[in-house]
Amino acid sequence: MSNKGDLRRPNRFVISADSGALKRIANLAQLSTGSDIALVCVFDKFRAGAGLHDELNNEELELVLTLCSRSVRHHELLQIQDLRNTVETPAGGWDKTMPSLGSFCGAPIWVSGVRIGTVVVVSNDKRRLDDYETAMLTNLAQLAADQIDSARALESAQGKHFRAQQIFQEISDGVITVNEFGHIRRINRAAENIFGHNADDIKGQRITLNSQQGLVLVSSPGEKRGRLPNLKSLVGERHTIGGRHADGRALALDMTVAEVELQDELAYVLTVRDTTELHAAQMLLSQHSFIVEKTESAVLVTDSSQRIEWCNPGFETISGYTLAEIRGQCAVKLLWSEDTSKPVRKRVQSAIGEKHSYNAEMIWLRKGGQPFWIALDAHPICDVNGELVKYVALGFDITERKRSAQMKSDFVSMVSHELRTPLTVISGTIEAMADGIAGPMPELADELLTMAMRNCTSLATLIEDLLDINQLEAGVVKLNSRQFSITELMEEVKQSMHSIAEEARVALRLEHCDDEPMVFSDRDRLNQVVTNLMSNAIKFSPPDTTVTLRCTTQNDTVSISVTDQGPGITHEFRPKLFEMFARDPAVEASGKEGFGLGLCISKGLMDRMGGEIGFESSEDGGARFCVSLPLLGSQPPTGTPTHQNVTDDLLESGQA
Amino acid sequence: MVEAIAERTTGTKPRTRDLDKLSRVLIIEDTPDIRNLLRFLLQSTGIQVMAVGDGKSALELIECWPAPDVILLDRMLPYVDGDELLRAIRQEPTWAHVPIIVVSAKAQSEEIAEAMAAGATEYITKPFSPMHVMKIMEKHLP
Repeated sequence: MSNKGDLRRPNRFVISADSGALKRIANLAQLSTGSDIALVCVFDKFRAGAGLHDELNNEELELVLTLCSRSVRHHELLQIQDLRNTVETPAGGWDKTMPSLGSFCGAPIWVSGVRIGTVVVVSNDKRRLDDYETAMLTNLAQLAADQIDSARALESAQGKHFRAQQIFQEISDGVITVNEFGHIRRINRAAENIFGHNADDIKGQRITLNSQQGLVLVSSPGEKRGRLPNLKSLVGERHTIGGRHADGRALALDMTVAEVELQDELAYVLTVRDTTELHAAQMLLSQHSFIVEKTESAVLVTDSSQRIEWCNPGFETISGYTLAEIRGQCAVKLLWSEDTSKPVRKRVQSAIGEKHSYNAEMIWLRKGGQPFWIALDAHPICDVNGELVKYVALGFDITERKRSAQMKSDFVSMVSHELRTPLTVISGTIEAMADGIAGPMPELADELLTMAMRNCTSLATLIEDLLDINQLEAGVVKLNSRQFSITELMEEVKQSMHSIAEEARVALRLEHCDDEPMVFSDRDRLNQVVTNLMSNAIKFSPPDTTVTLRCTTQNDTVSISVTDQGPGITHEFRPKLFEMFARDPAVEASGKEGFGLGLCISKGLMDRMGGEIGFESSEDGGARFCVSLPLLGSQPPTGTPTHQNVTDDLLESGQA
Repeated sequence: MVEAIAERTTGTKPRTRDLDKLSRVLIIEDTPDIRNLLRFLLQSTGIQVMAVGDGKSALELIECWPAPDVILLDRMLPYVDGDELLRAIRQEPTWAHVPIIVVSAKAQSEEIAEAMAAGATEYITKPFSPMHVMKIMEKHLP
């Protein structure tokens, strides 16, 4: 048997000094049998053993232990009367003669049906135990068995306790044991981490547990702790409560309470789980899902091939579809209307193709085919490999906005047109009268007619300006672009300003640049802008000063500047200069005419033409306004047609 | 319909024109006051004036009347609008050569371009100056 060798090793037999009971049994065995040596050997994992072996040398001990191991394999008592003449030797070799030892007797110890050791007596002489002695030995073996059994039970209980202790420390939930008055008995490592306290520092402290503060292990100095609730009433249920970390941070906790009896004292075990982060994440999630669910904006999620995966109630309301109806359908086929302008559709398609995010105002179709305007803000979501997984699009129904913008634009346009008709009659009549068609006018009437005429002109200007503003705002200003010479345009403007300048006693100076700059733009619109700048300059120029119209080129840009020698623009007014109806109070007080629309329109037109407008004004007076446009042949700004398109445009408009 | 066919000069500034060679101008304008103002202006300079107030009447006129020397045309007209009239006039053999001065409240450059493409000779925006109208008119009268 292989374990025989094991049994021989002395270190397998720990003859425990503290197993007093086994020692006493060995003592009793020695005394009751009158033997020289007695041993209680236990060969199991408990390694318990006791004996009187002081007289044995190592070799003898080895022999005895070997005998023990033999005896333990015997069902009954094993008695060897003459050790010296015993010829049987166990396999593994045992041929030593042991002159000092005479006889041996061992009784097996049975624990739970297993022999785990023996009670052994050895005498120096050869002898045989009588019945009383063997019975004694057998009974002592039984006593040892009982002893070992209870020792095992105890050890097992201790092991369990140890394991419980280990679990107590290693478990990820915080465990806080308090007595019935809330004084901390012990807390585990997880609880230390959750609350940021050291177990040793807070033992014996009274916890705070109430609905306001939640669970606080250590109250701040001077803090009112409030009454502790009846812990018994908390037992059994899971409680979601707040709490406070040692650093003051608020905690979210899940807590269960168990009642235990600990060392004759009633105690409560609070098991807490830190749900602060989970709670925060859940709050954020519920916040987001609330927004997505409740918002009137549409949220539409499509997969990589534009099939609808999900939509929110906002989208359902706007589109008239339910999610179930449209899930899996192609958004482009289902929703897109042909009425969306081609360039917009193309731009969105290519953005999707290139996995870019995009913004677009499109016409989509409701359930039933009714069109609606939607402003989209869409973002691609790609996986780690950069593969497009889905598009999330946020949409606003802008049908009403589009409609009211159109209505407003139509209204202004209509009113302006309608205003022109009576104005035409009034101004025409007045002019005809002033012209003497109805006979010569008295001098006073002539003056009155001049005044009426002047106001007709300014009303006509206002109507024109309102129309321009309206069109710029509605974004419907169409440009009639063609190629033309800046020099010629400047000559023309100067010519048209001649009489006004003369009346104001302002000299006009024209400074051309060396080359003949050509641009591709709307000539009439540029004329309008430069005329506006010139008329402003003349209006603000004192008599006998000069207004200079200058042209310069730099790189790919041509600039036309209008410089006056007037008072300049006040510091306060500069930021508002290009705003609608912006008028400097100082100018207004001086009685100079104007509606504050000219520069606003000029800026709008320059933006539309892809040019720029700016100004300089020094404190010493004088103002310089400058507009610039890309020169013909330079890189056209985005949106302007290329040369091929130019010809087409000209042919179409009949201006070729 | 046709409101006036020929009226003698009534103005205080009679222009020295041969009565037999009176120029004839057709006014097509739906606003009565503007129509009357234009008529007044022209007649004061000794021009024969015909005036109609809508596009349909104008079309009838084109079919059965001899061509005038100049046409003053509004664009926004009831029934048949000015641009359509422009094209109709340009297709009527006896009328096709007549200079047409469009007088309109439409002042956007692309709107003007549309009228020019439809066959307008001149374009005057409303509100107009009577002197300006007369100046343009003189250019095209025989």
